[in-house]
Amino acid sequence: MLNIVVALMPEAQPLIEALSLKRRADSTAFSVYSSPSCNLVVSGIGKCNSAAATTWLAALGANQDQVWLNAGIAGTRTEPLGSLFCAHSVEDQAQAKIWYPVQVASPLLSKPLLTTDAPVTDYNNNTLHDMEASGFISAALRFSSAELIQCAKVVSDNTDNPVSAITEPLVRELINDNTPLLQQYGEHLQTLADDLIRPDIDRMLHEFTSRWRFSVTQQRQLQRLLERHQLVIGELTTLPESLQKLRSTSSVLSWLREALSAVPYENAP
Amino acid sequence: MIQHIYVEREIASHPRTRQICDKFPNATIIDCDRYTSVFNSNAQNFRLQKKNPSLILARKHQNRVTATPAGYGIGGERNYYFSHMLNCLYDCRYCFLQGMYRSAHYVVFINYEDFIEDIKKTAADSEQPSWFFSGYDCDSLAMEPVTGFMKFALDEFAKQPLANLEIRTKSTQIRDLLGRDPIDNSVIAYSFTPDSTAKALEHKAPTVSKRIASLRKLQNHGWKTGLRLDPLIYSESFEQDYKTLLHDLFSHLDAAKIHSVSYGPFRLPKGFFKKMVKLYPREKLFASVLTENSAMVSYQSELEQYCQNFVESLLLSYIDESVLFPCS
Repeated sequence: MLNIVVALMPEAQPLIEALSLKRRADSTAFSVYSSPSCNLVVSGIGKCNSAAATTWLAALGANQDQVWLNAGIAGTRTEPLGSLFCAHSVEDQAQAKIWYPVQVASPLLSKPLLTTDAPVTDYNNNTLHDMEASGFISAALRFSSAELIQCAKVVSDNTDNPVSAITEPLVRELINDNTPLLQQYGEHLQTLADDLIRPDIDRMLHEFTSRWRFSVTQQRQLQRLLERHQLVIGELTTLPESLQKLRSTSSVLSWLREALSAVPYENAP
Repeated sequence: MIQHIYVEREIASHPRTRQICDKFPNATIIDCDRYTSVFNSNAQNFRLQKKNPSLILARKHQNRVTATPAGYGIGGERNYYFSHMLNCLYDCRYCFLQGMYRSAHYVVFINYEDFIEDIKKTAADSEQPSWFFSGYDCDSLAMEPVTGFMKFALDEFAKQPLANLEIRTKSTQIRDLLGRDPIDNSVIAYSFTPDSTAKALEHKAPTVSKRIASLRKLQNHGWKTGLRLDPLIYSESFEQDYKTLLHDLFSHLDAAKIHSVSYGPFRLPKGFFKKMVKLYPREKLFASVLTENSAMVSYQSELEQYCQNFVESLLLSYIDESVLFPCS
């Protein structure tokens, strides 16, 4: 699942259209748009709004290890309008705090990003300037892994094109022109996230938990034992009679441990 | 290929920093205050980073030389390790680094002189010889073309007869070693598991046959050489696999010239193991016959003993007991 956090509707609109997202009726605090593989929330301007919207979106049902992308516009001194960068560092100017979004084989060029509390006209050389990223990143790190949390910014203002000249149509155009690259970037991040999907043992787990009542600790042990079983012996499609006869949950766990202890490691490249 | 290099501001203008950065002209340089703000930050995933680690250049301020854990050594009384680098180019699935560090980025400490100074001081604390192990938190040679650390260190160790250096590696980066005279107080030690285990678990590492070829060249050049069979990995074909490995090793190497052989069972601190399982839930090695006690995860004691006894007796058919060192 790709979760996108944007500040304003003109930034969101091209992405909503390209990704065929539909407005969610159950989201009241922020406007949220969804498809089976993507959520987008419109946060409003500023880092507090961005943090709140990120948290709101996560609370609507995000699982661990999902992709989180803060997409939007940013200013920089010299880069031409419409250039797209990801951020390899995000500094909160007011807090003097810095994060380093981990870049794993990123297809985008990267730059440092400074989040300020007010629009900036005096750009530091080589640095992107926005007003949301630090809020987004500090919140998103509670829900996913640093490699899957990124900020991608399209240059909307520079020394020749001041922030005062930004208009809604311009923003829409800049994001729209970069939508294919943003989608590609989202897919790249999703490929990374797919690597973290745990083995699917839901059917087996359901079989066991509907037959026996395991404590919370035992459920954790059961989960790993079933993962191991699936890996080295195979899926337990039907429960053997010797297992079905057992009454206590501890004897069920022992049965699984014993079955697994009989199987040595086999090298398989 | 390194795409990003984090550089501590403090060492940004150090000549060694510049030299290393120049080797990656297309990399993006990212400045940072301390390497720990990148390397130790929360919510990182070692497995994802291992796909394309970045390089971090830093200064190591303290604890540059540390006593080894008990049971780690090759016969010396005074054993220390040092790490001019953290993390490894290779991706061995049994490696404890995956469980120890949050990040898979390569950290290179560029203040080589300070490491050598501390080594000299530690060695000078006693009239007895000391051993310094370099391949504890990294492979000693794999990044040598980038760091040049061993080239630097060997020149210094050559002047310190009471300081012995173990260079532990799986790397075939031996050009510098073959281009210089061997020094008497250094051992080049290669780590091995049987070929089928290496293929399954030692990702990105040179093949067993290439390692043997490198070791043979080093031995022929006059370097003291060692074998490290740690960890011993049990599998269905354990006996045959280790027979084949040792046969291959000793048919290419002069057993009489082997300085030391150490071996030890597969074992991990419990916390590291749990983290590794979380990173690689589908890894069969972690799903195999392992047992947990209060602090460690290892094979059940009978199996562990069997593995060690088998390999030990096999080794003794090739080498003298005096060069054999079990690790625990």
